[in-house]
Amino acid sequence: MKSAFSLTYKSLFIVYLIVSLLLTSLLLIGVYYCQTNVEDLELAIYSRELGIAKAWMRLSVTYDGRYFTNLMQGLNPLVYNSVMGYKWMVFAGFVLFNFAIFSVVKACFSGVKLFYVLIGTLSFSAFYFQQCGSLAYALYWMGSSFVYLYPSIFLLINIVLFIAYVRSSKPKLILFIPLAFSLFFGIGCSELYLPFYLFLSLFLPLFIKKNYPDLLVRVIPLCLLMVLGIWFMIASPGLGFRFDESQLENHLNTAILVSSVENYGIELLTLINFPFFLLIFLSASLWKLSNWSFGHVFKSFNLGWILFLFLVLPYLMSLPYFVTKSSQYDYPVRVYIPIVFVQYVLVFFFIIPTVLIKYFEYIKFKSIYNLSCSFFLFFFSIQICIGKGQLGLLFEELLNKKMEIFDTQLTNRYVKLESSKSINSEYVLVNCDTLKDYPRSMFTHPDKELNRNTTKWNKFIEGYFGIDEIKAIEDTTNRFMFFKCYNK
Amino acid sequence: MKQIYFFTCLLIGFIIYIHFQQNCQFKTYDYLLSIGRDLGNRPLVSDKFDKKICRNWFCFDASAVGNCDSSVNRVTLDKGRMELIGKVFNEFTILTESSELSNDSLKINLVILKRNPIKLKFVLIKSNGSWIIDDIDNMEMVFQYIQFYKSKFS
Repeated sequence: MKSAFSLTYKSLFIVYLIVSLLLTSLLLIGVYYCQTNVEDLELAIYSRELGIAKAWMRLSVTYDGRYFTNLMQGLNPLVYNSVMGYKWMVFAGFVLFNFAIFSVVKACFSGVKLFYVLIGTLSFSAFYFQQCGSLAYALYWMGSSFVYLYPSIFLLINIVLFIAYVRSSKPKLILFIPLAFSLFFGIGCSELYLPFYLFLSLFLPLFIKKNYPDLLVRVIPLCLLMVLGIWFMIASPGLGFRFDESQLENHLNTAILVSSVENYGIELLTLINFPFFLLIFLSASLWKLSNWSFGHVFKSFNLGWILFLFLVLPYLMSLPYFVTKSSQYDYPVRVYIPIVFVQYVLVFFFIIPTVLIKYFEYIKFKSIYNLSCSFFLFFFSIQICIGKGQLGLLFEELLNKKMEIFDTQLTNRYVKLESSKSINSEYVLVNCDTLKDYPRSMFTHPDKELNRNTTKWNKFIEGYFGIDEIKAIEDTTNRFMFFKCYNK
Repeated sequence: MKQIYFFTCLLIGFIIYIHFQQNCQFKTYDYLLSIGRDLGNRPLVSDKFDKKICRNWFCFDASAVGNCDSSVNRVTLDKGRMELIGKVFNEFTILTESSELSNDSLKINLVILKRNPIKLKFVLIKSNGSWIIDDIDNMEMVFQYIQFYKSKFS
């Protein structure tokens, strides 16, 4: 009976591996087909024309306080005139994300064979992307990934480096420096992480003082840097512009708080789905296979703390958005991308091991476990096949060739625009198709507009490629060209 | 441990220095209530015709440089405020109505004034010591103005 259970248990991991490999391949196919949108071009012009430092300063001063994101807007292939390099940037983000998960799984579930660590990594990544809310914002739109993917990468790197830093026999500068930078950069990606790091900077020294007083002296500089990072972002003059439109009391009222709670409720309900259950089972399995060495740390957390970390802390993370966007009452998909991630990390690396250690230390993995896991894996696969969730949508748009058509159309457009740079003409006019349809899983507006309705997006394409005008065949007006030529 | 604390202090010092730099810049931009806001909060970087000129003009809130009368779409320039902006923007020519800076006047011969929330926009062109004020209906027109006045005065 035991061997039968063990056999099923192992074969389940094989199924996990196959499913996660297929889904990783699907995500990589998405990377192959993704394309830049005009806002990326706009920000690239900015850095190209003014230089990285000046562009960074201007964004910090006039737009927002996301200092690391603003820095990344100047450090990408688009700034160096490589439109095709965009895909490599997205690829790098995806690889970094998986590498960061791999490092944390390896550090937390010590003693687990590399094969299982790999399964844990790929599965975590696939489950998260299935539930992230929008793959376009979370991964395929480079500018957005600096805000929604990179802070997650930094959070994972912070965990690994922190474990190494506090576990070393002596405090080592060589471990502290990367951790300090990683913490500081992680805070500077998105204001949504501010409550998380603020909580950490207050809670960590108290926890360490109570349980590991010898380590307090090591942790204090980290907390100082966290507070500094938070202050640096909040005190950034650019953040003030977000409050410009109305008075502060308009941002802090009951309607906004109610809206934030309602939206958070929707997020929680959406979260409770097959990938999330699979994540729980996967965490329990890896915990079972590992010689878990954080038992003494996690035992000090009671149920109240677990509920606070899972329910209240993620909610607090959404508040910076609701406070600054007082007129927004729709469900903000983007805002919940990092929140889902934090909940995933907490459940996978902390809550499930803690619950198992505290309440089910002697739990026996019975056949019911295998059965439940198989059940959830089956329905998760069905979900994707019928186009549900983000990976399902990606799969559907791959099958109906939306991604391929979109990629071909935009590649042709950019090749045409690139080649038009060398045209020696009084007035360089480039006719390009307008996107009528695009894969929702990997692209979002802005794009070139018909008849230059709002005028600004076309201008950025023209600015980036140094042409006079980009037009669509469907355009019904020539007024822009007329004015321009007339004034020549 | 001393090294770690020393490094932390260095980092804190550096970040505080950057913050003061930011604030210094902000004092400048405080007057630029909408740097190319029509272009999505970005500075104006336009096509090749305008490249040379684009860094020499900005969008101002009209109230930063003068008193707006929305009923007649006019701005009465306030010399004091204009000079203040000119001082903050030491990289640009001081904005005055006098002819004392006529040699450099081309550097700053165009200012777009914008008044929120009425969304009135004005183009202000300095030409031979006098200011011409026009209202514009969209950003395309601005480029036409740049083109026109550039060819005329440069």
